Amino acid sequence: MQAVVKLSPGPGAAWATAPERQPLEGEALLQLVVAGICGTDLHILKWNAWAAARVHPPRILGHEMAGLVLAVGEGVQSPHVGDLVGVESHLVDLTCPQCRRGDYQVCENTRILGVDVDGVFAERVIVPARNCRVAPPSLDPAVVAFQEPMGNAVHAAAQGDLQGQVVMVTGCGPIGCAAVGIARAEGARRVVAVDRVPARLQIAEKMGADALVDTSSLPDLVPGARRCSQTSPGACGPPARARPTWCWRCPAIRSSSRVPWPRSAPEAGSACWGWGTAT
Amino acid sequence: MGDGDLTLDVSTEVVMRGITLFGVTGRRQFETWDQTSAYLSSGRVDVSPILTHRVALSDFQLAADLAGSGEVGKVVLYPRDGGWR
Repeated sequence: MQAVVKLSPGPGAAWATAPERQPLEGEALLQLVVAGICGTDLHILKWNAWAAARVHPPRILGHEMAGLVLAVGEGVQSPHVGDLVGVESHLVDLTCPQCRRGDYQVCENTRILGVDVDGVFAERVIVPARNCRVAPPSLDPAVVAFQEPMGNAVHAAAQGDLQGQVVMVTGCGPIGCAAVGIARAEGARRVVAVDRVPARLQIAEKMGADALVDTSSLPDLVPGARRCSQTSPGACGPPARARPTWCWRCPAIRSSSRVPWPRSAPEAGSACWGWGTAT
Repeated sequence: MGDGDLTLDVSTEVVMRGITLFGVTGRRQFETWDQTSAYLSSGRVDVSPILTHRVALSDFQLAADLAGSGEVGKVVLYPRDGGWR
């Protein structure tokens, strides 16, 4: 089969032939229907310091996918052949203290598809059957694949009650834009979206943001965002330039607020968001 | 994943404002998946505006260039034979 393979350490990857095998006990063989590309894949393609330390080629890249189950190994009860599935990208050991108390997302031996083991940018993919989630009927397969990154935002939103809150999302990449939609669905009073790229703010607006803050044209995020937390979309934006900033530094995110804190910095274009009472 | 250090004045920025910061990685397995698919299948959250570009898997470099431009939403890739009816 053909796959996107990092053949050796260094920038780039190849569209190359990769070996195939049958699923072993507890595994599922999937035919790729659609994959998503993510910032992690870009870091590995560019071969930054993190990738050079973590990834050991040859490695098939990619970790977001929807696939059709072609075969399952011994002992697999779910999924079934023919199911359309989304895939959890974190392969956990099930035995560390975190896993034993059900906190699989912080397993101390997590292996990530396309990073630590071969990934999903391939015509066929083998993953643990446990990591397959049968898709609700009638969802676009691209949406099925998007559940993986969206799940990050859902996980963060589940840390508190968004009903009636003012929510600020700094970094309107795909996860940040999903956070906007979730905040809207959870009854946030206002959703303020912050980014330095107008095209991404337009997506945030389609997802239901009430106010957009373009930091490429603001001297400082703080006054603009404070005003936006009270006024209408389009009301902010005196010209000048500002650095992206962490949302907890904004007064719109006020005392007793809660701020999910992902590993990435806003400079990397990823989402940091918080909610609380605005002035 | 972001590289490098972040300076945080814990006293001023966190303690004296009573703010809670918490780390989020991955998804809860599998409560988060159930919640996510419920948002999507019920229509409470429509993510279609986020899915802005669809390209062939073999054009992964184009997908990377698009995603790296920072001007797009999610870029998705399709194999030649998607296997989907």
